[in-house]
Amino acid sequence: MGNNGILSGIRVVELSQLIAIPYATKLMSDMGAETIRLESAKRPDAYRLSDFYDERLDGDYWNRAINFNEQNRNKLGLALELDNNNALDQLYDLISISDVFACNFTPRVMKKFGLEYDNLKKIKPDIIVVSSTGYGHSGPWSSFGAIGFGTEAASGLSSATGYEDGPPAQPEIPYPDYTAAEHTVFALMAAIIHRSKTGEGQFIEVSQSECVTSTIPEIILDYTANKNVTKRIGNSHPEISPHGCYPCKGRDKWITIATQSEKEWNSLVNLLFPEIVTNTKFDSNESRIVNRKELDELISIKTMEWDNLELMEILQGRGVSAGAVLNGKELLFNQHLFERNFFEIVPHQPQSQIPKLPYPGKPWKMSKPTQGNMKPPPSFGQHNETILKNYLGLSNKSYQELQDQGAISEKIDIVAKEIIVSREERAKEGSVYSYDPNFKSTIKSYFDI
Amino acid sequence: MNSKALKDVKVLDFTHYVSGPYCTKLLGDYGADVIKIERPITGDPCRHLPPFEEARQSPQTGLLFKYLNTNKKSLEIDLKSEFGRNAVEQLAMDTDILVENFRPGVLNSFGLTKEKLRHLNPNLVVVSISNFGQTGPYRDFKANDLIFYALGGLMYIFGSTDKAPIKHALRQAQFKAGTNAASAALMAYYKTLTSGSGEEIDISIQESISASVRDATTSYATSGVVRTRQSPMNGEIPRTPIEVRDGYVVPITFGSTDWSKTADLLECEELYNPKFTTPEGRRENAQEFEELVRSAFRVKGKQELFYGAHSHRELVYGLVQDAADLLENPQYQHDGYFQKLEGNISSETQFPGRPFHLSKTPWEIRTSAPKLGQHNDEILIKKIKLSTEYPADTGSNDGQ
Repeated sequence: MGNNGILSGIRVVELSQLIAIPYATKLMSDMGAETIRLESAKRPDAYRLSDFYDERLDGDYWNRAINFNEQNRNKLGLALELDNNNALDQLYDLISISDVFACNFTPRVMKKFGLEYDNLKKIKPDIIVVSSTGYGHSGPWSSFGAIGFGTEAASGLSSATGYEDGPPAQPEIPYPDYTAAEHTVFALMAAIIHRSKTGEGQFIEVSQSECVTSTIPEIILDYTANKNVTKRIGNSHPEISPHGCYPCKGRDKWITIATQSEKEWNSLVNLLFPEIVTNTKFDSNESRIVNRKELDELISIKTMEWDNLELMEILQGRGVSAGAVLNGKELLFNQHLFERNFFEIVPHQPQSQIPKLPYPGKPWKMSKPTQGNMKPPPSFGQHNETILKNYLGLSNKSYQELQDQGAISEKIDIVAKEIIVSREERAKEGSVYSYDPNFKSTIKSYFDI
Repeated sequence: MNSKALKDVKVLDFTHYVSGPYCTKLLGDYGADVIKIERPITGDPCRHLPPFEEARQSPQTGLLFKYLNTNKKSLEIDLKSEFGRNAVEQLAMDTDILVENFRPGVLNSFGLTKEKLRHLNPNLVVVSISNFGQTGPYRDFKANDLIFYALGGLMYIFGSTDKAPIKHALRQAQFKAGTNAASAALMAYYKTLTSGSGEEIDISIQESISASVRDATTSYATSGVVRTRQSPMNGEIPRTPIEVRDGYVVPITFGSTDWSKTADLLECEELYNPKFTTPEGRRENAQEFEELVRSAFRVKGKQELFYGAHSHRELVYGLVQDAADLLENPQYQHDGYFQKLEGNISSETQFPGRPFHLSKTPWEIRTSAPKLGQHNDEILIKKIKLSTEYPADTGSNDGQ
């Protein structure tokens, strides 16, 4: 496939699940790499089995799984049962005509199927193999399964994050998977460049936990140099006050404000409450740090009178760092992101009955964009025939044999997990912020799709 | 045979603080030659940010700077002067990747416009990192990490529903943008190897956050649901740090609804009470369930729970580690992760090491972070062969 992007001509095969590898290869597929996503009907990606478009569980529900679809746009789908030796041979053949093999299963799985680098380089001498694991490909924790909430804890980041005097906190996404995926893209590009100059492939080990630790040097340095253990301080900043998140008008509306200079403080205070300008408790950053709590309470009383977007615009107009806290819907409809065409409009397979949808775009813009070349995510097993027959030259007879042995398939024989609480009820009980029954038409008209 | 992946890749680095320097650190640590342009006297303001080595005298260069600027050469030069502009224009002619993180428009004000750079070097890859990108209504907005979390969409789904949203500690947004910038730079550089035409790359720190909060926008786009922060337990164990005797663990049941494994791990008889063995039962008795679970966790040790969980296949508990724990961690030790560096740094101080391992072209610290202007002579006289009479507007007072 590919979309004539920068990476067209690079073929990636991924044996993957959830995010850490699929997100990395999504970024590369968006840029034109041809990515073949391996799947299994016996052990489908958990993302095929939950969160369906419009919460519909009927029919081939797995082709309406939103997290799968969003991350696997622009990819080809090959459903192959690797516990069948003939199918596994097909995978080896596929790797022999590919540039990258990417895997985020534990080393045990790679070993079981003979997919370690030392084996694959015999099949394809210049292959680049990447193994992304929670904690490392070898070593005492290498056999431990992990998802982002575990690696975030291990990395050191959680220990420093959270409300003051509260437990460590984590966001509602498996955050380190993305940090690791972003580093994986860089690692792959470095290896691809090295290969293009020398002809040499190699093995890349990504530890998701260590990737995150590399982005929190302050914690490591302050501890090793000074034995200081970083404390949890919520949204506060050790050297800046005010610096926080304040309530605004409306239900669960907030604004963040960070005054990084005396000038910003003066602009803020003159707008919100000129009466305290001369109060000695707040007349320098140092005194504002000492009286942080009192000041944050005073600011909260004032910000509650404002709409958060309006206050942000006014403060930014006066040179103050301020940002409204955007929820998922507000982010999707954010004017700035809209004008930058941040969201990619992605089509879906016609039989899935999913319309074109705006999905998060790439975290970079190139001067010669690949925008508008988005291809739909594959339905389960959609490209079995294309890949096995056209790419690998498998005969009709052998293809039929694989089918008869159940080694290739186009459907998943698992019943979808029932939704215990409907979205209406979830909105009512507050486990989600809201449910908008008119979301389809709202999106269609906003993005003109 | 090469031993560095990015050998012979030349980077001209106009960056300061965190996002840009992390981008060029990644390039440098995997082999690129990086020349860091710093303003006279003060240099990169990151030199003056904590943490410092408290036992040593000031002034000293901050440790964050020393982490972010390994494998770079420092050229201290005034871009507002004609001399400075000429020098960097000459350097740009012999550069593969230029990285900058000025406010939008500032690079232009130094005469280094897109057209000028393209004219000097048609193959040049120019990477610009900024708060909100080079275009759009927020282009000139001021921000720091807190603001990126808010406008990037990650903050709203972070924290408790009964409190204000929060953000990660420190400078995650900037590190994310730096990583993405480095990847994008290599993609464009890779293209120049074949098609020989450069590229301008626009990195918005906000978008680096927004790209990874897929769940938040996609949830609305596909089901009309606006997600929120962590709500009360409601009869299931939250996959959020929970207090144990000597710290915190994150209880994660990986794709399993089999409650008995968790009950086994906690060795808590009362959890086998029929009213807790079904999801419906736990929901109905949510408050009682929560109290019971919390007290069951509180008597257990973190190592015991973490290692115990991993002996079950579907329990992949997380172990909350602080810096002290990390230094002792057997996996990090196995990987030789933490590093001591040369260059006026205490032997106690350790730095995070390789974020990932490339088997044939490993991560390597060849040189510690430079002193301000350390490589002026080498670059100006030897590399671009200026006379020795370049303006000495340095007067560096870096304390190093």
